[in-house]
Amino acid sequence: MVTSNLAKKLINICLSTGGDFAEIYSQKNTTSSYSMENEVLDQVISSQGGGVGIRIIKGLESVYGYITGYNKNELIDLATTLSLRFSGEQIKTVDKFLPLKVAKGICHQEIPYENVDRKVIIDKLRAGSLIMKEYSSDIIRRIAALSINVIDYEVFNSDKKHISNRKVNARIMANCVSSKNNKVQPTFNAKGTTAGWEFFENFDFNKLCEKTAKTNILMLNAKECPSGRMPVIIGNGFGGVLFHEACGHPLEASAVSKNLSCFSGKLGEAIASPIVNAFDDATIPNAWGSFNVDDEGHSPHKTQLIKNGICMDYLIDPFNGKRMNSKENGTSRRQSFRFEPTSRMSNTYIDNGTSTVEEIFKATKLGLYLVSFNGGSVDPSTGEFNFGASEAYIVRDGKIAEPVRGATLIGKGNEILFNIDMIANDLDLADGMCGAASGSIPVQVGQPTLRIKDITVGGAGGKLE
Amino acid sequence: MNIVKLLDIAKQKQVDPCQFTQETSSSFSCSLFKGKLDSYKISSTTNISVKGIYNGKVGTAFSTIDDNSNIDYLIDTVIETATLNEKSDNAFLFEGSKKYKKIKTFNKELSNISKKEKIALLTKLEKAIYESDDRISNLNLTYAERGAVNKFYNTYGLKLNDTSNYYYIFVEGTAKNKDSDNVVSGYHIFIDNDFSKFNFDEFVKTFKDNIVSKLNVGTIKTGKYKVLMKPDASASLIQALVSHLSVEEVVKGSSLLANKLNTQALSKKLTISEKPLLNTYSGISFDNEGVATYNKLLIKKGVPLLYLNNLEYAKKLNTEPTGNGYGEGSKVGIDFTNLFVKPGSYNFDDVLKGIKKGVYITGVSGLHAGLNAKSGDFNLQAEGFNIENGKITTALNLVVLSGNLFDMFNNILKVCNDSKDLEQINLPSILFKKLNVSCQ
Repeated sequence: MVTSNLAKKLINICLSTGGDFAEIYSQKNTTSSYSMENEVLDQVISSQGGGVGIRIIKGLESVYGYITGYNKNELIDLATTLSLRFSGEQIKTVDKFLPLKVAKGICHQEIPYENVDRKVIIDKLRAGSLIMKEYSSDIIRRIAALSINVIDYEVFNSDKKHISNRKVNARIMANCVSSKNNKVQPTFNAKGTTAGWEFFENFDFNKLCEKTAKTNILMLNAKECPSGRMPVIIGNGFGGVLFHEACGHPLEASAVSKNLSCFSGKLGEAIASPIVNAFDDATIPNAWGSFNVDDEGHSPHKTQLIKNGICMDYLIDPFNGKRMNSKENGTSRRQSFRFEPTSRMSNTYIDNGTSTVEEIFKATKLGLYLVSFNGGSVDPSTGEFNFGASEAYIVRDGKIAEPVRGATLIGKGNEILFNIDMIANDLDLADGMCGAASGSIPVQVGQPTLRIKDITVGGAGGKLE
Repeated sequence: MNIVKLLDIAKQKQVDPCQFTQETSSSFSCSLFKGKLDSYKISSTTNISVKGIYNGKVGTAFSTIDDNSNIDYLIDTVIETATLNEKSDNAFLFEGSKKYKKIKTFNKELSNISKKEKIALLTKLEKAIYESDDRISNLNLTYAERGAVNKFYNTYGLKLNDTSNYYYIFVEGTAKNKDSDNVVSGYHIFIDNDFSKFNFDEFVKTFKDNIVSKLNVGTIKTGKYKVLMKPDASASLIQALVSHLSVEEVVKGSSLLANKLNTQALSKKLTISEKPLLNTYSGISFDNEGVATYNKLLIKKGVPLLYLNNLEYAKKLNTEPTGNGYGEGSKVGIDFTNLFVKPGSYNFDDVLKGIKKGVYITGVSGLHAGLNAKSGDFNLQAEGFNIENGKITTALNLVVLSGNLFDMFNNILKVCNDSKDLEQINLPSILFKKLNVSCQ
């Protein structure tokens, strides 16, 4: 990795042409993964690497460069090349760094993964895979996998800040494919953490695999989802991907600051139904999207994004905050040194409401109930989003009826939030990966069960009857 | 890194045979927003992978550290991962193909154009697009380029080298009528490695026409319609269809083209080839297993002619490798590049004139969630236009297009002659019999 002396030299090269901020991000990463297909461990990956990213900011212009490895001469060349983008007198120098102690309270590991006997990991995966196999003979492929990513990084910047931090993300996955009568159905579930092996010791992977198999067979035999506008009840946990896509991305400063978001200029204005309260919280202990310090060295926050339907805040990183005249709020994230950091979500959710799940169903005569999703995407400039359901049911006379497959919801985030008319009190969060300008990062999405009174559902199953 | 030394140490530690691959790349990108450069990025990277057979099993190691001090870590990791690997059947590495075709995938002229000129091009483009229509706003333009050198060496004496580069110019932005709150967004991209192929005026016009045409918003009743699909919309669906030619999916029971070789599985109007040996940025002369690639007909008039394989499945099924082994790790997947859909004889305007009521779909999104690649079912966010009495009328900005790949490609009405080059695929507009369109 980069030494303090080298970092000082590089920062001063960066600032030599009048830049007002410079940062060195040095990273070493180790990835291990174990994947078995049909109970045979056939993919064991172990990789080690790292590199350095250098950033210089002057006003509202940012330059960035990175290399793999830590070669001193290459880094000096890189810093020099980047600095030549600007022309001016040096206005800042750095003579020393002040190490900033990172509190380890939010994410910590009791049992490091490198201390775990591989056999224990492999046996756990195999046991789960067998559960899926035994659930149904229609399940023809089972993949059980564990992936562990450890990133040690240091940040040195021209504010004389120096932080060292370790990020650990581990995720266990269950994936099965079934086939019957010319139909093929895949289903995927996963659980991730920033904790150590102690989390998976106590995690019931067999139960996750059973749930995966059960959903898979239900969907294999399900009829096609009807299409049209209808009330939709969205389940708790991964149902929160609605909010993530429809609202979370358009609230990131990377879009807001350039007026490219449908929520630009909406602070203090209603952007959702008055029963909606929403947060982004990077301080949830050992949650998949949590961190002890963000990737620019700022403390993580719990930020209220929406209060009683009113837009209260955005997710702001320092660079985009300049354009907005707003202070950062600990949301600067990046996948690795290959990406410039920017404002991103962490654990983002709609908070509990005052209804119960039973009340929501009772109030729905005919509609759809979406339990879980494959994911989705959004265009922040228009608010248009889509996401696909991985498990869904028709609702008739307030009751869950037959399962349906292939449901897709589309809409505009700035409209759909106003259509939330009931929110229950069973908040849950679920893990996923989010891809955007600063790479793919772990995030949690979440919500209680809620109802959207009217939304477009796409499906090949004709009209809802 | 001294590759010869690495392969020698591998042999000494009984990792034999052993294979070393390295990609060294450099990139540059910049973005322009409101006349100012708001992003400027350069990079220089190395990615190394080592694969070897130890005690009859495959092990792999990866690193970004290009240094002789890393050799022991790489070989020891191969040993460690091979020891854990439970798959011991058919463990082997490829000695090499008899012949490799030389193709031109690197254009040295690209580096002769300075970064300053590339940034100036973006500035000129931004100005031209804003001037083309005052309803356009919030433009974000990006120029990016990447060059890579790939090495593939093994203990059989195989030494392969490959150099390639490309650039792309991307613009995204919004538009709205002055008297309306309705904002539409659009984007356009050009990718190649030959700068002389970039047509400035055509790029500006295409972006402008695409985005402002969306302002005339209409609606459509949910139902089944004839769908005329622009190449940009059907490209990813064609790629999803071709993925069912992977022999691994066939063997594992998750391909809907299983047992369909040499049968009329799809529309007779559909002919698709794979052409990896193009003399262009996306050409590739050897796959990730070192197998020489070759151009091949995949589907002829709706009849699948072959399954794509990697070395593992070629050996298992006693067939020749097709050069489609892609992916890192001990488990190499099966993939493809440079698809060509044979154009038909129909003129686009003539096809359009023949549609009394239908939909012209110009783009789809949400494939990672809305397309079930295994079953072929899809429910995708789409955009396009109404077709009424042979004319394109109002825009449809948020609809769901639903169907199944196999049904869809079994119900092609007409294939146009307006082939378009997109990223790793060349295809024309296609008219499909009936797809479900749901509207807000």
